[in-house]
Order: sequence, then structure tokens, then C-alpha cells
Amino acid sequence: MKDILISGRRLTKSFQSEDKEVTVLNDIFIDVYKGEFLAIVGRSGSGKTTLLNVMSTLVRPDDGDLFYQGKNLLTQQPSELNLLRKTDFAIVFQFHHLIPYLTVMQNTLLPYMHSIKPVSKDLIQRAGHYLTKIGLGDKLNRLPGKLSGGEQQRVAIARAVVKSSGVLFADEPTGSLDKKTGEEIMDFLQQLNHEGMSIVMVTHEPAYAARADRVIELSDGALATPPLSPLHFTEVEEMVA
Amino acid sequence: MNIFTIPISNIRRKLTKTMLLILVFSLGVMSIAALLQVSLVVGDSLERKLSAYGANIIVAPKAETLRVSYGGFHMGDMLYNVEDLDEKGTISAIKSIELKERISVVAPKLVGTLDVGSMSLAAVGVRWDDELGIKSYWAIDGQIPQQPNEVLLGHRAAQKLLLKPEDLLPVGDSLYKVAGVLEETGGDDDQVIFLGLSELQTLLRKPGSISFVEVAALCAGCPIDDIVTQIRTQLPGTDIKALQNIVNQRMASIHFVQKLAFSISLVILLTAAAMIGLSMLAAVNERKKDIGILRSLGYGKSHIFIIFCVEAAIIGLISGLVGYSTGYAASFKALDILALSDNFQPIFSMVQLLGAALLFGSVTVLASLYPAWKGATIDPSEALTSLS
Repeated sequence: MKDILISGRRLTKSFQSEDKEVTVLNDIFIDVYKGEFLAIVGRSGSGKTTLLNVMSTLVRPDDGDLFYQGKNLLTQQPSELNLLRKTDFAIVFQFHHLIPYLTVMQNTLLPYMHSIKPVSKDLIQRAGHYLTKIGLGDKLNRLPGKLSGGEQQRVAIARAVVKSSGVLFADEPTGSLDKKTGEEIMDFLQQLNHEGMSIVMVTHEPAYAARADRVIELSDGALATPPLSPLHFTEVEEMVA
Repeated sequence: MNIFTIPISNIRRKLTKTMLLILVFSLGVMSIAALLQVSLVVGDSLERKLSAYGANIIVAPKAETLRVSYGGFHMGDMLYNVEDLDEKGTISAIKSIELKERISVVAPKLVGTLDVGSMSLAAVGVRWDDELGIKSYWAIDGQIPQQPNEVLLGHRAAQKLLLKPEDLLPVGDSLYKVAGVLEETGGDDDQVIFLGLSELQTLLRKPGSISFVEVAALCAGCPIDDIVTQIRTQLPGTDIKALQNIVNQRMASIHFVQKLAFSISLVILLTAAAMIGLSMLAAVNERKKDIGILRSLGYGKSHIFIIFCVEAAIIGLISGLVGYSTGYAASFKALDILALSDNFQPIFSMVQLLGAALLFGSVTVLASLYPAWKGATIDPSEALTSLS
């Protein structure tokens, strides 16, 4: 039996929109297993990104419980959650979100630049190794503005990977990329997953969802039941094709 | 690479904007530094000038006063038991006090009456150099006596005696030449004949005696009361008075200049600080995305706070260094234009330079506390909504 890494129970989240309250997540139950590649799919506005943000502790739910390795994260202090995001969680956004005035190397090492103590040589070497591995070895001192969209997304992933995090949360990591670059990124994510990293990915691309071990679909803030298998998406993709 | 890399890299990216901000803040610091330098020099200069307008401490022998009245008719107060002071002993005692370097002039005087023809006139024996030291406002028709047999007449005394410069004044068996006549002062000086101190001591047969001493001791923040106390300790048998009104008036003039400069500086400083604060507030709003990224990477509120404060501190430190240096240079030009400095020059101090850098660095940090706090407390989810 697989170990549960993250477990969400009755997760509920609402936002105030103009004069009315909009429920984005409604009584969600979700488990993420250690080492699995989970895809969250759903139409635009279905609550995928909010669920990812809740699971990665960036957004606090209004109700419910969120466990990571058995600890309820919603009872943790903000400083403990900061530490968790610093060490165990890594987040990749759709628009890569690199700091525009930091170089590729600095952006990659950003998780380690939070103190007066300089980043160690070991970490610099490790970042250089990953960046070289993803084809950016000759662009270490470039600013993000001088990179293509795919390269920027690779830097964002390298930033997530260099931390040796336990879980990678990826919000539409291929959303702003062309198909070829998107495939490359997906290959890279799968490779990371094979190396042991748990991945929770939000996507609306059936083809990419099909690469995950498991897929869950959200519809109007609730889980579509029963949970869908990747096979379903393979079939959908074939139908679309 | 550490946390300082983030604000430094941002400053480098927005070099033009940062330079503009530094320029504006440096101008503020420059104005403050120049104003303070000018006020110090002008205060010093004014102080010297004012100190030349008379004494502010009187050292006189102790005397008993008797009120004379009879049948309801008051005939004024009568002094008795008045003894003259010893010239050498009194002067050396005054010049030996602990705060002696604060004393600019010690002017001893002997007062008596002289019979001139059928009239009796008050005469004052003075040391000419010392007297001119405290009475630089004297305007003289003629010149200051150079010889022992020369006198200086007060304006009204000259009118009474119908004398003018170069005329001769008969006193007893001797003739004195009128070296000069004072222009009207409106004070006691108009009524008297001024002679050399030794000459009057001889005429009055009071060798080595003086009636009182005028002391000029004026400086910004000068401890007049302490000087009086120290002289009193040295000369226990004397009556020492600080002419507080004069002192306070002069001090007020000096302090007014310095307070004015300080007030203007404060307004400039507050304006510059407000500008920095507003600029940082705008920067926080501009950089919500960066804050969101950093928070998602585990940066805490304190880290975000530090990043913005360091950025403000760098601007303040540079502005302090540039502003103080240019302000120092500008103070020369200002003093030149205002023609106020006489021979005084602003003083460049390394300690002041570093102090200015630290002070203005702290001011910018203080001005940025609210924006930095606002940035630090941005909810990561709020920052994330501005990410797409």
C-alpha cells in the first residue's frame, strides 16, 4: 500500500466577488501518495489553481484539514509553513515567474538567498549541474528577459528541483509554451517523478494529464466522482485527434 | 549571493530611477548640510561680532547701600564702604578661572571726578585696547588717544566744555590734548572724559586701583553662570553681576539663526523622507509579483521587510555621503554670496560625513518602515492573484 504524503479533508474555500461570495472549493477530499504524479484537471474556473495553492500552503482554506506527512498544516505557525515551502515544497507557476533582475543562476538559488550567509559553493555547483542538464549551462548569467518562454520555465523548474523538495506543485507548467517546449517540460517533470519526486500538476491539456499516474477532475469547486483514470484522458485525446 | 543580492540587483536594474531618487534625496541632504554649515559659521561670526558690542559681566567691589529719606522726602540711595579693587590682583584672578578661554576681553576701569575749570566732570580711566575690544561700536571724531597726555571726550562732555579734537583740556595744573570726541552713543559714555588708566590713577592718587571691571565672555552656549561662579570663587570680596538681558538677547540672535536653519532643515528632511516613503510604497505595489514569488519560496515576512529596508538604507547612505559632501562645498558659495563668513570657514569632518550617511540611511529606513511592513504583510495569495 502506498504512503499518503498529503491529505486534504473537507477543504473549502470561498472568495468575495463584488457583493456575493463565490465558493471555489467545496468539501474537497484529496490524497497525494508518496512518489506519485497526480494531475488535477477541470474547466477554467473549476478551482484547480486554488486547490493547488491550498495544498502548497499559499492559500489558507476557510474550512477543512490539510495533512502533510501526518501533520495538520492548518494548525502550524506561518513561520513553520514558510520553512515547509523552503524545504519540502516547490512551486512552479504557469508564467514561470522568475525575478526579472536576477540572473538565471541567482533565480535558481533564490530559495537559499534568504539570509546574510552567502549561498554555499556546493549549492552553486548543484544549481550549475541542473541548469546544464536542462540545457542552460551557457546562460547562467543571463537575465530572464533574455530567455525564451521554455527556457524561463526550465529555470523555474530548476529552482524547484535544486531544493531537493519532496513535492513539486506545478500550475499549468506548459500553459504558456508551444507544443514542442511543452513536451520537453513534461519529459523533464516525468524524469523528476521517476527520480522519486512527488508531483501535483494542474493542467487543462488532456495529453499532459495522460502522463500522470492518476488524474482528478474538479467541476465547480467539487471533485468529479468517481476519480478519473489517466486512461480516460488518453481516450479523450484520441477522440480529439 | 545572499539576501542583499536581491535589493542590490533591483537597484542596478532600476538604475535611472534609483539615481533620480538619490539625486532628489541628496539635494535635500545637501540643503540641510549647507544650511547647518552656514548657520554654524554665521553663528560663530555673529557671536564674535556681538561680543564686540560690550561686556556681559561686571566685577565691582562690594558696597553697602543706604536709603536716604526724611519726612517722606526721598533723596536717593547712598553707597558707603566702597573700596576700590586692586588692578593686577583682580585681572589675574579673572584670567585664571577654569573657563578662561571663554573670556574674550577684560576691561578694568577707574571712575572719578575731575575739576575742569569751574566744572566737575566724571572721568573714566581705561586701557584703550581692552576698551575698544568691548566698545567696537564707538564712532570717534578724531582718534583714540595714543599718548598719556591725550583724552577722549564723550559727546555731551565735549559740548559742555566747548572742545573739539586737537583742543587742549586743562585739568588741575596739566594740559591734556583732546585726541577725539565720541559720536553720540545715547549712554553714559556721552557724559564722561576718558583717559588712560594709569594717568587717571596718578591724577586721583590711586595707583594700582580700579573701580570695576567689565568682562566680555560670549559664545554660543556659553556657560555665563559658570563663569560668574568661577570669578566669584576667585574674587570673594567682589560683587559680580551677569548682565543676563544682554546675554540672553545676544544668545537669542545667534540661536534664532541656528533654529531657523534647523527648522528649514527639518522641513526639507521630512519632505525628502516622505518622497522616499511614497517611492517605496509605489515599489511595493509594483513588486507584488516578486513578493509572491519570494513568499512561495518560503521567504517570511521578515525577509521581505529586510529586502525593502536594505534598499531604502542603500539610497539613504549614498544620499548622505553625496549630500554632505556637496552641501559642504555649497556652504562656501552660500557664505560667499551672503558675505557673512568674515574669515570663518566651514569645517569638513569625516565623523560628520559618516554620521550624515548613517543618519540619512536611518531616516530612509524609517520612512520605508510602513511600505516595507505593507510589503511584508501582503498575503501570498493576494500577491499570487497579481501574478498572471
